[in-house]
Amino acid sequence: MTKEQFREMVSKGIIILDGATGTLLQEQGMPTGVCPERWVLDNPHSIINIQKQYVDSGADILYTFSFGANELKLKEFNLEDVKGINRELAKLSRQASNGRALVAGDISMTGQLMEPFGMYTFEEVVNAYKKQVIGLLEGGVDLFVIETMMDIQEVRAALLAVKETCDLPIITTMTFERGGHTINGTDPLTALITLQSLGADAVGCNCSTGPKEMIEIIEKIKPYAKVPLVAKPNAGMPKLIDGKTVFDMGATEFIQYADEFIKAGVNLLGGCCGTTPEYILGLSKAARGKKASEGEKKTNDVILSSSRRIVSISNQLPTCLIGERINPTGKKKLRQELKEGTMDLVTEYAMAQIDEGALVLDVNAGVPGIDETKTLTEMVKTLSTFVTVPLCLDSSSPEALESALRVYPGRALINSISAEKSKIEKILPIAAKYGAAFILLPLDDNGVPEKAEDRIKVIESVYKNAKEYGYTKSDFLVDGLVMTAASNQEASLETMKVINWSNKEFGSNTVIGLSNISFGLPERTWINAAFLAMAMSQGLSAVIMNPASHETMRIKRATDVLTGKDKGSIHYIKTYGKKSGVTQERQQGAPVFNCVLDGRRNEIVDVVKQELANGVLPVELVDNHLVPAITRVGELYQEKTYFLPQLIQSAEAMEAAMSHLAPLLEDDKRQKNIKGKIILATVKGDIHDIGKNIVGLMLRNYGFDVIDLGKDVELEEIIKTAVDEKVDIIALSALMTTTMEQMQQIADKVKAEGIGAKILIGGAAVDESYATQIGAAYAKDAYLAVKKAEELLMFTDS
Amino acid sequence: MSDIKYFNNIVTPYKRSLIYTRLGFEKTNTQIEPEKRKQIDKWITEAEVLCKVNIIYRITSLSVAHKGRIVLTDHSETMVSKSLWGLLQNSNEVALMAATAGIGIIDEINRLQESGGMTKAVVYDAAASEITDAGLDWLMGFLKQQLIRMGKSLTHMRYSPGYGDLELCNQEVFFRLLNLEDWGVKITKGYMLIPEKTVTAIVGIESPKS
Repeated sequence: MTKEQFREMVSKGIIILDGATGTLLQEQGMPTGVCPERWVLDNPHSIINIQKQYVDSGADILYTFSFGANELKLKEFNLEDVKGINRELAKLSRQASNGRALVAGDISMTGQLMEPFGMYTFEEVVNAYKKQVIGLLEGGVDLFVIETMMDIQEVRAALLAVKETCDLPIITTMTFERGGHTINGTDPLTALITLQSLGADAVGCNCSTGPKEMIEIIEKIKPYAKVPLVAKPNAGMPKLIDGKTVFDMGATEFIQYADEFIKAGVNLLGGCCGTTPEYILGLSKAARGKKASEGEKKTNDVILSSSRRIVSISNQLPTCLIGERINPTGKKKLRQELKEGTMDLVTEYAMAQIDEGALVLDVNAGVPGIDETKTLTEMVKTLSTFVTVPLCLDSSSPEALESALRVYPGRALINSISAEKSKIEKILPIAAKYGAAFILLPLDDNGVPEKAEDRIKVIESVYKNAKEYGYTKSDFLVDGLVMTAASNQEASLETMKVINWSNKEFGSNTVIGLSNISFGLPERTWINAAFLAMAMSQGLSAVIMNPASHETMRIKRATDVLTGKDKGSIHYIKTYGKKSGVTQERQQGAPVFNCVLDGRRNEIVDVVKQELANGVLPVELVDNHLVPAITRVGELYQEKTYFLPQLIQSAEAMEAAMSHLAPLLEDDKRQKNIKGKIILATVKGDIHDIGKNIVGLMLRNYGFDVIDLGKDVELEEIIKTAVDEKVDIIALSALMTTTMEQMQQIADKVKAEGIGAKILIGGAAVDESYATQIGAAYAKDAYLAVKKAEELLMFTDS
Repeated sequence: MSDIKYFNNIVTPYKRSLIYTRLGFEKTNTQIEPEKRKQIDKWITEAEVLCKVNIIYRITSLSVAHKGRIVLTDHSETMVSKSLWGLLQNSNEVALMAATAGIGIIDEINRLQESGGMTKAVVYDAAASEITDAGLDWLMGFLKQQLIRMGKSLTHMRYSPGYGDLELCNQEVFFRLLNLEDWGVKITKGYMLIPEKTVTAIVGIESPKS
């Protein structure tokens, strides 16, 4: 079957897929623990009977029983003849269909993850799948289905394995949990964008959930679908009742969802776990002759994806910011790092730009003398593991681009493709193979056309070539091509004309690389900002710039409001709107108090210095500002208005102020400020100490003299210190039940030796009753530890 | 020990809201200014990058013949826990699992505490705990999907040493059977695992009765 024939078949009406086979084979006696594919080959009539029933029930497509017949899965059963097993399985399905249904070669997960997560490389997985593909082809399949996939990268590997082996149509379905994501965090829309651009002929979902949840998925992705959509739901959710797996939805209820599926826009419909020929017969009757609802399409945006999200670029949306900083040009440190093969700065630049608002990251590995292919690929691998925004691959090397695109687990943007012969002949086919979007740069082998009308001719020429590879106007961004204003002041206006034409006449989204405009001029920020506002007023869709340029970012956000792209000014207000929070707690004319309240550790020392310069005495700052502030913070924490990070930030601010003020206080005041002496220790055998350290910080803030003995502290050391230092309180922490017994031993020892110190305990393993049992006081958290310590001292004093 | 399987550097599907909850955030009460929240979110993302979550597991057969005693029949290992025993009544296999976030995040938490960055350390610590736990959630999701086609399912919950009446000393069984030493994990005399952000658990696999 050709891809064209597949499209034509689907366009005629709903295609019915088969239902479950695994669960039916179990009912026919297939034992657990065996290799199902091997068992079926040994018991061929079992699968032939089931599949015949599905054909009789109206299934248009049968899936071969080769779900786990890939090299890596078969290896678990010490089976090596991958091609032979798949060939024979395909033949069984052909026998069952007897020409009445198409046979789809079924491919599914390997049960492994590939690097950097698992033990196999991407190419090893592609090659493993290719062996299965060849076997299924030898068995005479009509098309392929890649199903029940959890890892988008594994689907890509399987899809490429089929694409690089034959031209048959490919259906892909992933399995999404109830929350709407695969377990690796890919949502259905991201999967659709990635897989339809990579060449899947139909995309959808199967397994995991029942029909109701799957209809919601189909509804959500339909507006963005350029290919037919597939759904193969389970018969509800599995339950183990009396030792048998039971799916809780009967055929009658299941079939009732058919119309909703069709309304949502599904094109191919079948059943997964728990379904039987009865279910498929019902679906067939309900859906036969009907056509999927198409609904409103949102396919004019340029949509990119990572493994975990999509980004839409459109002249109707706020201008998309493509971060330009991961580029070694003019960055000595980054150049050095890339030469050494480390990725620390790449990671740092990526995180910083995302934090500043970048929605796409441009990645460039152009350092003279390095292996660009290897470096760009490593950069992409590194970023793909933790960055959720899509990447823009900035290279003119076909080899580097192909290598990076191959391992990139989403739909990337290529920067860029022009009308230069080398780009059209070498990069365009690569972009098309991997379904990448691209930036269309309007220059050719004669250089950069000065006039907009000449650039337009180049754009049309590139588009003509791109169309031959299946590209549409929503698959690329037209670059306005920015030339420096210092050498030609007309240049900026020519760029505006290209952007305007592209928006109003050509119908494609646009991008500019911003910083070139100001090259050679002083105060470049203002030129950049003004130029960006001009371009945005012409309908610019995306800009490549440094998001750390705050002035330009402010102009961008403001222009998004003024051009109506930031609907309801939501983004602007979110960024610059009135701050909420606990501002009502702040006191007029009390900057030191407010610094503690807000936890502004980096500012507080300067504020204290200013107050001292204004004539405020150190003792006044402590008694009238710092202590009341930290007390109020404690209250806010108790009321849960503050949570732990706020409490600690305030404590850190207080500590910074006290460090500065302590030498300025008179000795007697310093002594007076000390409430008592406390040992702090995590008991022997316990290695967790962050909770204890927070308690120490708080106690110091409240004027206690803290002797922190650290973690995993011997009983003898605690007792000796208590005696030598004449401490008032021994504060002990334990996280584990196995170590809390140490507390009892210390309490007993203190009592036996007549040491006057009180015992205060805390930590996840202990509670009030345990404290009472060993004769200690208990504090649930750091703030209560301070209050309890104060109480213990009051009790001692009285 | 060839049946031990692993995954490196898993991006675990952790819930940011659970990290906030660990830090004492209450949706209805706690007030935080957007900039401060942005800062905490940024630290959580940094912690995510520093956590190199490796997941190690093996599936092994099981016998629950004696009340409260769970025997891992392939390895002659026994654990005692009435509540786990109850959970595993319908299981004839179990998955032993471990997730470890590695030493990088711990070193950074310690460095921050020593250099006066306690707030950031506390956020990193809570994030690392949640991210590591989410590693086991991820693995259970992965196993569930692998098993469903065979008509098998996982028990509705997992147990960790130190949870309920499954004593912490059972950590040694996990340490041995998952070869955790090969993953840079150590066990103390008190059965604690180092690096600190390392968790282990057992979950039952239930099969249809033939």
